[in-house]
Amino acid sequence: MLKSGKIDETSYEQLEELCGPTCGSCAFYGTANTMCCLTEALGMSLPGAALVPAVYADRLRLGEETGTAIVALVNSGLSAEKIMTYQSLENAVCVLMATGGSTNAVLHLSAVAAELDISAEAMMAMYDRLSQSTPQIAKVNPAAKYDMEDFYRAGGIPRVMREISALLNRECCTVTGKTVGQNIGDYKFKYPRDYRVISTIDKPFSEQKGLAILRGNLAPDTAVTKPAAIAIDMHVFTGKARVFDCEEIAEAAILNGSIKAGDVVVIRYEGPKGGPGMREMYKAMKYLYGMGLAKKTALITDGRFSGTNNGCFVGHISPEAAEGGPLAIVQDGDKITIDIPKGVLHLHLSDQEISARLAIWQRPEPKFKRGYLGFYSQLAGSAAKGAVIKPV
Amino acid sequence: MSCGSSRSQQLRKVNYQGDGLRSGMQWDDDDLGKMQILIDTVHGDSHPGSSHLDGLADEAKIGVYQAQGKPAVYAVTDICDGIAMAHDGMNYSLASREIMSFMFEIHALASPYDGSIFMSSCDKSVPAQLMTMMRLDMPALHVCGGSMLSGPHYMSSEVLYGAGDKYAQGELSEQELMYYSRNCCPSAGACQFIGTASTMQCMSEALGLALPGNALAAAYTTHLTRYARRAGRQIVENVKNSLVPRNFISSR
Repeated sequence: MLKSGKIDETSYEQLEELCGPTCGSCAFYGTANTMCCLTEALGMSLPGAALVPAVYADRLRLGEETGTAIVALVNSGLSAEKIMTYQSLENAVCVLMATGGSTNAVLHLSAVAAELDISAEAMMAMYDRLSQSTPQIAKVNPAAKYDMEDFYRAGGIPRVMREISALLNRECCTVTGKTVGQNIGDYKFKYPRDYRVISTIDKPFSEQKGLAILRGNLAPDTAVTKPAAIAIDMHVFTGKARVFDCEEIAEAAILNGSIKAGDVVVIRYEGPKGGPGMREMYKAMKYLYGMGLAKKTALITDGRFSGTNNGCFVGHISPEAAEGGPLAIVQDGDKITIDIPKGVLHLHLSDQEISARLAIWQRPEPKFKRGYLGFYSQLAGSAAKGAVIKPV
Repeated sequence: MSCGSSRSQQLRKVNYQGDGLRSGMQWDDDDLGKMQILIDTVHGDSHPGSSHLDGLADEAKIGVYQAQGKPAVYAVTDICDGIAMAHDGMNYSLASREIMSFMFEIHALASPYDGSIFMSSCDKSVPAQLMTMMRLDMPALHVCGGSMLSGPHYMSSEVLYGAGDKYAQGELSEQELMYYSRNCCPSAGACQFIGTASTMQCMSEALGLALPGNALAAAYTTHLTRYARRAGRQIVENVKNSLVPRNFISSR
């Protein structure tokens, strides 16, 4: 906005001074806060721990109580693998859907599940199933104007879990030594309810899926999208591919006006191996918004998105282009359909044509050969499996 | 001081979020415009070789401020073979070097900084940091965490290698064992003998990556803390002169 002259230098500096008034994770419901909320839902942090603002005395008290709790856990022999189970992961996914959390949570929960030897397929099925059955009852920035402090005062995760308790595995063990059901019952709320931030299960903000898993000939091993952040008339979108082999080239094309209404911007070689490291196509999405194209174009990628992104986007496309996924053979002008209600990401080409193009596809040289990124780009696994590093 | 073309200042032109986020930890306009220096230590309550590095990092910060830079302290602590030994914790010892080295690289480049001070005392952390310094195309220098003071009669933790066995065989009383155990490590710092930790501190100095005389200086002495403060001033000079370890340490 500074660059386009919509605000002046003084207002910009004022914004900058005001936007980060304290320490703590970001003040919106992005991936950081989502992960704290899911940790609490998993039973791995004390009830209420996710959302107490960083500078409250209660945050320090919570630190102290956590110190006491870990000693009690050691004395009772209650270890984390008894708390983090398939059932408690279901609770976390329910809370993810009920709060409209970040798409990155899919990647991170799958990585946690991999440590428990729960398969990627089982997790994808879990996201699919629970996204359909869990209504969204909390709405926070970027989905609404309310911030994390409002979310905390409205009751935070204990309120969300009490509200959707019928959908949860209430017998799951937690770090308090009590079950999820007992924690929900015991929690003492400090502030009155605020239905603008956390509604009831009878009057959800939305019945539609918060996050959705897509499959199809362009994403044989799944892709992830966030219907909660996409205008309803964009839930089915067909357009012509505009293909870019990295984020920066795509951004330049958006900014110089060469992306038009009806285009599907394809940004590939940005997956775990290709990027490497699945960069977030944060700026590309914001530029589409800035150019007035957010409701007329779509963006699909094997990279990720920020929890703050809005607009028609599909990420985590697996297998990624650098692994020879079908994304690698898309050409400018190919027709692509995103159909969220049907859970489909489709490339309008015959199987023969896709195979023929894949047969002559050549894997590009890795972007980094030295250092950690050189190492990671060789060992990173598929986004559908949490992008964890694993032996070749 | 002008550092408009530096890595950190380039970042400010393409990512406006960075300034806003840093103002959440009290960086003001002056700070944001300065040369940005990473101080990456292996501080932690992990063992005495690293437990004092927070204070030493504070000294390095003062040095950076004195030279008109803006420091930021990061940490990845290391493990102690002396404590990991005698069980399968020891499998992690050498393996930890690589992952620490990667974390230092990530710290230096993900933000990114204009120059780095790395600070460590012990046998995996010093080589891990040297490896990172060789990998980075960035001015960097190493501050050795120095040595532990000796116990009575030059006693060191080494005495416990034999004493434990003798105690187990009944050749040493519990009282004698306790005397050794509670007196052999009277301060923080790397082990007092020239084991791998002290050797690696010497290698760092010999390579020209630590300031002359820094290796082995006793922890908590002003002799050591002065090196940290000087390192803070020196790194700012090295950034101005684009003195990159990769370039001045030859492969032949």
